[in-house]
Amino acid sequence: MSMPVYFEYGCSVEIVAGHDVLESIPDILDRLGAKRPLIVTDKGVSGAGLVDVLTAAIGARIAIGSIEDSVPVDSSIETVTDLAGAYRQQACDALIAVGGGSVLDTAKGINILVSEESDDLKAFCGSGTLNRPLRPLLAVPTTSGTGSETTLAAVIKDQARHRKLTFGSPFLIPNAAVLDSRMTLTLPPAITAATAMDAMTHAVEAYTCLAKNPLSDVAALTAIKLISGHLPRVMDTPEDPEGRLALALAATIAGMAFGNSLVGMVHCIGHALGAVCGVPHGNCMAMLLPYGLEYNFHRNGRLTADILAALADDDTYARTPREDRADAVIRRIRELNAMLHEACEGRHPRFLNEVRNARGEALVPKEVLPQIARAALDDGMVLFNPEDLDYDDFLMILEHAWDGRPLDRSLVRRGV
Amino acid sequence: MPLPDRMQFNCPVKLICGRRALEHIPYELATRNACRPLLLSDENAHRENRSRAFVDALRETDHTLGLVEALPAKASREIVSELAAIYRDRDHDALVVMGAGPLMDMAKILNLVVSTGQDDPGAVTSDMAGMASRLKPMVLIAPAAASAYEASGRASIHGADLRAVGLMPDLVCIDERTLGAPGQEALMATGITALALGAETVMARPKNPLGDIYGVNAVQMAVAALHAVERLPDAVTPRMHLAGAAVMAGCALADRAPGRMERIARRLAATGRTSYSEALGILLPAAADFGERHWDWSPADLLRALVGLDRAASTPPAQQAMSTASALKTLVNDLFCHTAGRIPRVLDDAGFTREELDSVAASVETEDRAIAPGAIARLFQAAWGVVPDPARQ
Ligand SMILES: [Fe+2]
Repeated sequence: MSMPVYFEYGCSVEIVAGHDVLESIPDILDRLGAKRPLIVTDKGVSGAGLVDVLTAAIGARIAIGSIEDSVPVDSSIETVTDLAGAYRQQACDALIAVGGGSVLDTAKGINILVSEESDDLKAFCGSGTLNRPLRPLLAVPTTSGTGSETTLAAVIKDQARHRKLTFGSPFLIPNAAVLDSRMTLTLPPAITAATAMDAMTHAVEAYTCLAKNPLSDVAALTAIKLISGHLPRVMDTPEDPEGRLALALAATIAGMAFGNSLVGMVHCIGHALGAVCGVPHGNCMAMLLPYGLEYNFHRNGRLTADILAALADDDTYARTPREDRADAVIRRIRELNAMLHEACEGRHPRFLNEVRNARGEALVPKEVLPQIARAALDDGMVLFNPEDLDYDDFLMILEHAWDGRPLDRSLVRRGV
Repeated sequence: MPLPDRMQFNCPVKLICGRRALEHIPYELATRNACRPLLLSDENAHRENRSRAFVDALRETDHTLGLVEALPAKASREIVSELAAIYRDRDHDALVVMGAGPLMDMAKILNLVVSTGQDDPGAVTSDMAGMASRLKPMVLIAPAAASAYEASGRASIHGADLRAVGLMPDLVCIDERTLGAPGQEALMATGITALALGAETVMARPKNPLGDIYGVNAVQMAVAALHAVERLPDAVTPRMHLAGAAVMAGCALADRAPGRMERIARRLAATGRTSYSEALGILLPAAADFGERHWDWSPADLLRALVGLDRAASTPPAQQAMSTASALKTLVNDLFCHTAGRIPRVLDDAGFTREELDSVAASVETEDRAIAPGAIARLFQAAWGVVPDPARQ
């Protein structure tokens, strides 16, 4: 067994996962010394009745200060400041974020303002600006993908200046993540598929890219096994609580893996594709993951091969000739995407040319590929990718991914 | 992998491991708002002048370091009280622990005392450690020879046992300069304990994939180190693996109650015939087998960590549990051979008498019927080494 020359690993979030764990929220808050939480969420979540599920589970055991469901798709300074006002007005003493990444980021922002007794969020931008514990924060994810319930970062938009502010501190990590199968039971198929593939990509990149370590490796393989073992069944039977719980747990575990060992080129291109064309992150991941593995094949094919046991099973691994295992992994990920495409009646795109908006228009016209390639160059995660990439490499990959051709590996230039 | 209906896990430990890891500690302390650490070292660390490397790492930082060195290898409340006075008088704001077992027990209690304002070390409770975020920062600089409980949420002093996540260190540092240079036996004892504790976490029910991340790593690192047994005292890599294995085992335990094998091993060791780690080594192969049949354990889940992906994947599913038990037997037998019989393989090697074993079986205090005296007696029969287990026939 090999250890990297230097590595770090940690995830201080208490994880509580199960079919009826929302009921433990009052106990967790009590342990943290809180009595009156503010629930932060968005209209989608409250409209789906999930806040009702939560409040019913909490019952009268704890007084909820207020329920605020005004978080927009991209959280902003204004939203954070408004909700911090609501927190103070209702004399709250803790936060429960019910939703996805934007809701949690908003809650982290509110927590900074109310704990530091400030109205100037920008003053806490960057890292090292916080140096003591904040108010208790609980995360209740309603999708199974981002893994943001395990991370120490928050991204909040400064509308006035059209830029994104990043906050990073160990004090921003939620105290607990409560993963309850009821919160994802009604997630629509296309979002289930896309978010699961985001989690899958976190795990696969954590295992195959440069900043891996022995702990993130085990976490990554655990997540891959949970996703590949349960995603097909959940697509078949969406209200399968076992499967939903497995996917929620997998997303959190994948979050722990990549939170410690970072990701690679799939995320570089994915971030760029999201920024330039507005393609949902999970869709970007699903479409690009096979290309990341193909491009890096000569560097990390041996690691990609390991994944076969988790993605399929031990027997398939053992029966596949050693030299074919990495190819089998790539083929299986494409097959998984094809299955998801069918299960979502076409709303899970397999390649860029297939991405459409609600009106059926192409979201990624071929002309924008150079712009995406340029944006990808600016993404820091390229540092952790096994093989180097420049503009031409990104463009070459995007051209293949545009019409779904497997990557012509003879075009990959091998760096030294 | 069937998941239980409810899982809970919390490991607040951040691990920093590898080259110049010590130099990261000042930064880590600063992010936790601490700059006046108190370093505690035990006799072994002091004899080897291990604190020197940490003092060097703090040079050119604005941290102010206090040192109390050569603390005795037995946890005592009196010492905790004295340390608390030093901590307060000199205005310290963090603990850095360089040592193993009892020193870490004292440090955990000490941290409760100085963080909660409860002056009497005999009066602190597990509940006081319930809120990890409210306690002062504590750093463990992990040695290669350890009890494997250092990073866990357990502490024991004068026979009183505390158990809480808040007792776990915030930060664990593994750096080759502070591993220490213990003898081969102490290193092997660390490896066997970490292996057994990690293995029990992975095999036992209910399944917890979050704890297993650490359990699997404990087993992998312990096995890698134990295979390097001839090179153990001198080579850096096996000692890094042992320090890692011990930390992982502690993290896997977190604040869990002691497992079945753990409890039985404690009673075996209490007879004085074997050490605790030897008792775990004797029990482990038998418990894997026995646990599968009587405790709903899943030894197959451990196979990959023991023998690697290729060998595990090529073993038919129906044979995986058996292969795990047999890989564990082989490992323990190899250690017996490498140490010319000093590490026992089976109860018979350790010189137990039948009567002693009967009284050990009767002495495990528990409500758990699965380890009632009759069940333990059958496990002992399997671990005896000569008489075949009747349940197999
Ligand atoms: Fe992602």
